[in-house]
Amino acid sequence: MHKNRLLCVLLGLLLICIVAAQIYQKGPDGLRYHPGCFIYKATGLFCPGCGMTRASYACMHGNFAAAIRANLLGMILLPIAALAIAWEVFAWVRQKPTLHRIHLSRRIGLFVLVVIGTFTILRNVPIYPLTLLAPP
Amino acid sequence: MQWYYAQNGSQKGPIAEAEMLGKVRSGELGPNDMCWREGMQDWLPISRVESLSIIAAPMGVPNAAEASPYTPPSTVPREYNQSSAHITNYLWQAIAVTVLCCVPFGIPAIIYAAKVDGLVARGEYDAARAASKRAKQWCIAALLSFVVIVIVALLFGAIGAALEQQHLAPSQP
Repeated sequence: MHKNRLLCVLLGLLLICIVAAQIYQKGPDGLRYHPGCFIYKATGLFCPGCGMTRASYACMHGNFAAAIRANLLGMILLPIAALAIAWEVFAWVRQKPTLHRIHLSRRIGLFVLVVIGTFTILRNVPIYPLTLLAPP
Repeated sequence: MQWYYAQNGSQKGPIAEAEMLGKVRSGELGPNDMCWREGMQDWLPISRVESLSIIAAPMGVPNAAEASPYTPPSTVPREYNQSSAHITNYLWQAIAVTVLCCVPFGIPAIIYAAKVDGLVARGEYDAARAASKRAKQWCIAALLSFVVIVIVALLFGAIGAALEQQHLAPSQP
Protein backbone atom coordinates (compact mmCIF):
# COMPACT_ATOMS: atom_id res chain seq x y z
CA MET A 1 0.00 0.00 0.00
CA HIS A 2 1.42 3.33 -1.09
CA LYS A 3 0.13 6.33 0.87
CA ASN A 4 0.77 9.04 -1.73
CA ARG A 5 -0.87 6.98 -4.43
CA LEU A 6 -3.88 6.29 -2.21
CA LEU A 7 -4.15 10.04 -1.57
CA CYS A 8 -4.00 10.74 -5.32
CA VAL A 9 -6.78 8.25 -5.99
CA LEU A 10 -8.93 9.63 -3.17
CA LEU A 11 -8.50 13.19 -4.51
CA GLY A 12 -9.45 11.95 -7.97
CA LEU A 13 -12.54 10.25 -6.57
CA LEU A 14 -13.46 13.45 -4.73
CA LEU A 15 -13.19 15.39 -8.01
CA ILE A 16 -15.35 12.81 -9.78
CA CYS A 17 -17.94 13.05 -6.97
CA ILE A 18 -18.02 16.87 -7.19
CA VAL A 19 -18.55 16.78 -10.95
CA ALA A 20 -21.13 13.99 -10.65
CA ALA A 21 -23.04 15.95 -7.97
CA GLN A 22 -23.02 19.07 -10.17
CA ILE A 23 -24.36 17.15 -13.16
CA TYR A 24 -26.88 15.28 -10.98
CA GLN A 25 -28.35 18.47 -9.49
CA LYS A 26 -28.22 20.92 -12.36
CA GLY A 27 -28.54 18.74 -15.41
CA PRO A 28 -26.48 19.02 -18.59
CA ASP A 29 -27.92 22.42 -19.54
CA GLY A 30 -27.83 23.91 -16.05
CA LEU A 31 -24.09 23.80 -15.59
CA ARG A 32 -22.87 27.33 -15.10
CA TYR A 33 -19.57 26.89 -16.82
CA HIS A 34 -19.53 23.95 -19.14
CA PRO A 35 -16.41 23.95 -21.32
CA GLY A 36 -18.27 21.93 -23.96
CA CYS A 37 -16.58 19.94 -26.64
CA PHE A 38 -13.69 21.58 -28.52
CA ILE A 39 -14.39 19.51 -31.60
CA TYR A 40 -18.07 20.47 -31.69
CA LYS A 41 -17.23 24.14 -31.19
CA ALA A 42 -14.54 24.12 -33.88
CA THR A 43 -16.21 21.97 -36.53
CA GLY A 44 -19.89 21.58 -35.59
CA LEU A 45 -19.44 17.80 -35.80
CA PHE A 46 -20.35 15.33 -33.08
CA CYS A 47 -17.29 13.51 -31.74
CA PRO A 48 -17.63 9.98 -30.32
CA GLY A 49 -17.82 11.39 -26.79
CA CYS A 50 -20.55 13.94 -27.50
CA GLY A 51 -23.62 13.44 -25.35
CA MET A 52 -21.80 11.81 -22.44
CA THR A 53 -22.78 14.60 -20.02
CA ARG A 54 -26.43 14.04 -20.93
CA ALA A 55 -25.96 10.28 -20.77
CA SER A 56 -24.41 10.40 -17.28
CA TYR A 57 -27.18 12.74 -16.10
CA ALA A 58 -29.83 10.35 -17.44
CA CYS A 59 -28.02 7.36 -15.90
CA MET A 60 -27.84 8.97 -12.48
CA HIS A 61 -31.59 9.52 -12.66
CA GLY A 62 -32.20 5.92 -13.70
CA ASN A 63 -33.27 6.81 -17.22
CA PHE A 64 -31.14 4.36 -19.16
CA ALA A 65 -33.14 4.67 -22.38
CA ALA A 66 -32.30 8.38 -22.54
CA ALA A 67 -28.66 7.60 -21.72
CA ILE A 68 -28.39 5.15 -24.61
CA ARG A 69 -30.15 7.64 -26.85
CA ALA A 70 -27.58 10.33 -25.97
CA ASN A 71 -24.54 8.16 -26.67
CA LEU A 72 -24.98 4.49 -27.56
CA LEU A 73 -21.32 3.57 -27.90
CA GLY A 74 -20.29 5.54 -24.81
CA MET A 75 -22.78 3.61 -22.71
CA ILE A 76 -21.20 0.36 -23.91
CA LEU A 77 -17.54 1.38 -23.67
CA LEU A 78 -17.63 3.53 -20.52
CA PRO A 79 -18.58 0.73 -18.08
CA ILE A 80 -15.92 -1.56 -19.60
CA ALA A 81 -13.28 1.17 -19.41
CA ALA A 82 -14.32 2.08 -15.85
CA LEU A 83 -13.86 -1.51 -14.70
CA ALA A 84 -10.51 -1.82 -16.47
CA ILE A 85 -9.29 1.48 -14.98
CA ALA A 86 -10.43 0.48 -11.47
CA TRP A 87 -8.53 -2.80 -11.87
CA GLU A 88 -5.29 -1.01 -12.86
CA VAL A 89 -5.64 1.71 -10.23
CA PHE A 90 -6.15 -0.93 -7.55
CA ALA A 91 -2.88 -2.60 -8.56
CA TRP A 92 -1.11 0.77 -8.75
CA VAL A 93 -2.11 1.74 -5.20
CA ARG A 94 -1.26 -1.69 -3.86
CA GLN A 95 2.12 -1.54 -5.64
CA LYS A 96 1.63 -5.09 -6.80
CA PRO A 97 0.92 -5.61 -10.47
CA THR A 98 -2.05 -7.77 -11.32
CA LEU A 99 -1.13 -11.20 -12.61
CA HIS A 100 -3.19 -10.83 -15.75
CA ARG A 101 -2.85 -7.35 -17.15
CA ILE A 102 -5.45 -6.35 -19.65
CA HIS A 103 -3.61 -6.40 -22.93
CA LEU A 104 -5.53 -5.28 -25.99
CA SER A 105 -3.94 -6.83 -29.06
CA ARG A 106 -3.26 -4.63 -32.05
CA ARG A 107 -6.00 -6.34 -34.05
CA ILE A 108 -8.71 -5.91 -31.43
CA GLY A 109 -7.49 -2.37 -30.78
CA LEU A 110 -7.84 -1.57 -34.48
CA PHE A 111 -11.31 -3.13 -34.48
CA VAL A 112 -12.38 -0.92 -31.56
CA LEU A 113 -10.97 2.13 -33.34
CA VAL A 114 -12.85 1.24 -36.52
CA VAL A 115 -16.07 0.81 -34.53
CA ILE A 116 -15.54 4.20 -32.90
CA GLY A 117 -14.76 5.79 -36.28
CA THR A 118 -17.82 4.29 -37.94
CA PHE A 119 -20.01 5.40 -35.05
CA THR A 120 -18.60 8.92 -35.36
CA ILE A 121 -19.35 9.07 -39.08
CA LEU A 122 -22.83 7.58 -38.75
CA ARG A 123 -23.95 9.91 -35.99
CA ASN A 124 -23.07 12.91 -38.15
CA VAL A 125 -25.27 11.81 -41.07
CA PRO A 126 -28.46 13.88 -40.96
CA ILE A 127 -30.79 11.11 -42.19
CA TYR A 128 -33.53 9.75 -39.93
CA PRO A 129 -32.48 6.44 -38.38
CA LEU A 130 -28.90 7.68 -38.06
CA THR A 131 -29.91 10.89 -36.29
CA LEU A 132 -30.88 8.66 -33.34
CA LEU A 133 -27.14 8.16 -32.78
CA ALA A 134 -26.52 11.90 -32.42
CA PRO A 135 -27.11 13.54 -29.04
CA PRO A 136 -30.63 15.03 -28.84
CA MET B 1 12.23 -10.40 0.46
CA GLN B 2 8.80 -11.99 0.06
CA TRP B 3 7.84 -13.78 -3.13
CA TYR B 4 4.47 -14.27 -4.75
CA TYR B 5 3.90 -16.95 -7.33
CA ALA B 6 1.13 -18.21 -9.53
CA GLN B 7 0.30 -21.68 -10.73
CA ASN B 8 -2.54 -22.45 -13.11
CA GLY B 9 -3.72 -18.87 -12.88
CA SER B 10 -4.17 -18.70 -9.12
CA GLN B 11 -1.95 -16.43 -7.04
CA LYS B 12 -0.17 -17.65 -3.92
CA GLY B 13 2.16 -16.12 -1.39
CA PRO B 14 3.78 -14.23 0.10
CA ILE B 15 6.41 -16.78 0.98
CA ALA B 16 9.98 -16.31 2.19
CA GLU B 17 12.90 -16.29 -0.22
CA ALA B 18 14.21 -19.62 1.15
CA GLU B 19 10.86 -21.34 0.63
CA MET B 20 10.61 -19.94 -2.90
CA LEU B 21 14.10 -21.21 -3.75
CA GLY B 22 13.11 -24.60 -2.36
CA LYS B 23 10.03 -24.77 -4.60
CA VAL B 24 12.03 -23.84 -7.66
CA ARG B 25 14.86 -26.23 -6.88
CA SER B 26 12.51 -29.16 -6.27
CA GLY B 27 10.74 -28.50 -9.54
CA GLU B 28 7.43 -27.76 -7.83
CA LEU B 29 7.49 -24.48 -9.73
CA GLY B 30 8.34 -24.80 -13.40
CA PRO B 31 10.13 -22.30 -15.67
CA ASN B 32 6.79 -21.05 -17.05
CA ASP B 33 5.14 -20.38 -13.70
CA MET B 34 4.85 -16.71 -12.92
CA CYS B 35 6.46 -14.96 -9.99
CA TRP B 36 6.62 -11.46 -8.53
CA ARG B 37 8.20 -9.67 -5.62
CA GLU B 38 8.34 -6.05 -4.51
CA GLY B 39 10.41 -3.90 -6.82
CA MET B 40 9.64 -5.93 -9.94
CA GLN B 41 7.85 -4.01 -12.68
CA ASP B 42 5.54 -6.88 -13.54
CA TRP B 43 4.98 -10.59 -13.10
CA LEU B 44 7.57 -12.69 -14.94
CA PRO B 45 7.96 -16.36 -15.71
CA ILE B 46 10.55 -17.95 -13.42
CA SER B 47 12.80 -18.65 -16.42
CA ARG B 48 13.18 -14.87 -16.85
CA VAL B 49 14.27 -14.22 -13.27
CA GLU B 50 17.96 -14.98 -13.12
CA SER B 51 18.21 -15.48 -9.37
CA LEU B 52 15.55 -18.20 -9.58
CA SER B 53 16.15 -19.83 -12.94
CA ILE B 54 19.83 -20.41 -12.13
CA ILE B 55 18.95 -22.86 -9.36
CA ALA B 56 16.01 -24.47 -11.14
CA ALA B 57 16.10 -28.24 -11.49
CA PRO B 58 17.59 -28.79 -14.95
CA MET B 59 15.23 -30.55 -17.32
CA GLY B 60 16.03 -34.19 -17.99
CA VAL B 61 18.76 -34.44 -15.40
CA PRO B 62 18.19 -38.17 -14.70
CA ASN B 63 19.47 -39.06 -18.13
CA ALA B 64 21.77 -36.24 -19.04
CA ALA B 65 23.26 -38.20 -21.92
CA GLU B 66 19.90 -38.33 -23.65
CA ALA B 67 19.25 -34.71 -22.92
CA SER B 68 22.27 -33.52 -24.89
CA PRO B 69 20.69 -33.84 -28.37
CA TYR B 70 18.29 -31.12 -27.35
CA THR B 71 18.54 -28.27 -29.78
CA PRO B 72 18.58 -24.93 -27.97
CA PRO B 73 17.01 -22.90 -30.83
CA SER B 74 13.68 -24.67 -30.32
CA THR B 75 13.40 -23.18 -26.85
CA VAL B 76 14.73 -19.74 -27.71
CA PRO B 77 11.68 -18.29 -29.47
CA ARG B 78 9.49 -19.41 -26.58
CA GLU B 79 11.63 -17.47 -24.15
CA TYR B 80 11.51 -14.42 -26.35
CA ASN B 81 7.75 -14.65 -26.40
CA GLN B 82 7.73 -14.68 -22.64
CA SER B 83 10.07 -11.74 -22.40
CA SER B 84 7.79 -9.75 -24.66
CA ALA B 85 4.70 -10.57 -22.60
CA HIS B 86 5.52 -7.88 -20.07
CA ILE B 87 5.91 -4.91 -22.42
CA THR B 88 2.57 -3.24 -21.90
CA ASN B 89 1.18 -1.67 -25.07
CA TYR B 90 -1.20 0.77 -23.28
CA LEU B 91 -3.58 0.46 -26.22
CA TRP B 92 -6.85 0.26 -24.32
CA GLN B 93 -5.73 3.05 -22.01
CA ALA B 94 -4.90 5.23 -25.02
CA ILE B 95 -8.27 4.58 -26.66
CA ALA B 96 -10.14 5.17 -23.41
CA VAL B 97 -8.33 8.42 -22.72
CA THR B 98 -8.87 9.69 -26.27
CA VAL B 99 -12.58 8.99 -26.38
CA LEU B 100 -13.54 9.72 -22.79
CA CYS B 101 -11.39 12.76 -22.20
CA CYS B 102 -11.80 14.16 -25.70
CA VAL B 103 -8.32 15.70 -25.62
CA PRO B 104 -6.01 15.70 -28.67
CA PHE B 105 -3.16 14.26 -26.56
CA GLY B 106 -4.83 10.87 -26.86
CA ILE B 107 -3.98 10.55 -30.56
CA PRO B 108 -0.17 10.25 -30.17
CA ALA B 109 -0.84 7.83 -27.31
CA ILE B 110 -2.77 5.57 -29.71
CA ILE B 111 -0.08 5.84 -32.38
CA TYR B 112 2.74 4.87 -29.99
CA ALA B 113 0.59 2.15 -28.37
CA ALA B 114 -0.19 0.60 -31.76
CA LYS B 115 3.55 0.34 -32.53
CA VAL B 116 4.48 -1.65 -29.43
CA ASP B 117 3.29 -5.13 -30.42
CA GLY B 118 4.78 -4.85 -33.91
CA LEU B 119 8.18 -3.90 -32.51
CA VAL B 120 8.00 -6.79 -30.05
CA ALA B 121 7.18 -9.21 -32.87
CA ARG B 122 10.26 -8.02 -34.76
CA GLY B 123 12.36 -8.47 -31.64
CA GLU B 124 13.16 -4.78 -31.22
CA TYR B 125 12.59 -4.79 -27.49
CA ASP B 126 14.32 -1.50 -26.70
CA ALA B 127 12.24 0.33 -29.29
CA ALA B 128 9.12 -1.45 -28.01
CA ARG B 129 9.89 -0.35 -24.47
CA ALA B 130 10.47 3.22 -25.66
CA ALA B 131 7.15 3.25 -27.57
CA SER B 132 5.39 1.77 -24.54
CA LYS B 133 6.86 4.51 -22.35
CA ARG B 134 5.83 7.23 -24.81
CA ALA B 135 2.29 5.83 -25.01
CA LYS B 136 2.09 5.88 -21.22
CA GLN B 137 3.37 9.46 -21.04
CA TRP B 138 0.82 10.70 -23.60
CA CYS B 139 -1.97 8.86 -21.75
CA ILE B 140 -0.97 10.58 -18.53
CA ALA B 141 -0.70 13.97 -20.28
CA ALA B 142 -4.20 13.54 -21.75
CA LEU B 143 -5.65 12.52 -18.41
CA LEU B 144 -3.97 15.34 -16.50
CA SER B 145 -5.00 17.99 -19.01
CA PHE B 146 -8.57 16.72 -18.75
CA VAL B 147 -8.44 16.92 -14.95
CA VAL B 148 -7.06 20.47 -15.17
CA ILE B 149 -9.87 21.49 -17.57
CA VAL B 150 -12.49 20.02 -15.22
CA ILE B 151 -11.01 21.82 -12.20
CA VAL B 152 -10.84 25.13 -14.07
CA ALA B 153 -14.45 24.70 -15.21
CA LEU B 154 -15.55 24.01 -11.64
CA LEU B 155 -13.65 27.05 -10.34
CA PHE B 156 -15.15 29.29 -13.05
CA GLY B 157 -18.57 27.96 -12.14
CA ALA B 158 -18.07 28.68 -8.45
CA ILE B 159 -16.64 32.18 -9.10
CA GLY B 160 -19.45 32.95 -11.53
CA ALA B 161 -22.05 31.88 -9.00
CA ALA B 162 -20.45 34.03 -6.27
CA LEU B 163 -20.27 37.11 -8.54
CA GLU B 164 -23.85 36.72 -9.67
CA GLN B 165 -25.07 36.50 -6.11
CA GLN B 166 -23.20 39.69 -5.19
CA HIS B 167 -24.59 41.39 -8.26
CA LEU B 168 -28.15 40.31 -7.58
CA ALA B 169 -28.17 41.05 -3.86
CA PRO B 170 -28.65 44.88 -4.00
CA SER B 171 -31.26 44.68 -6.77
CA GLN B 172 -33.50 42.53 -4.63
CA PRO B 173 -34.76 44.79 -1.88
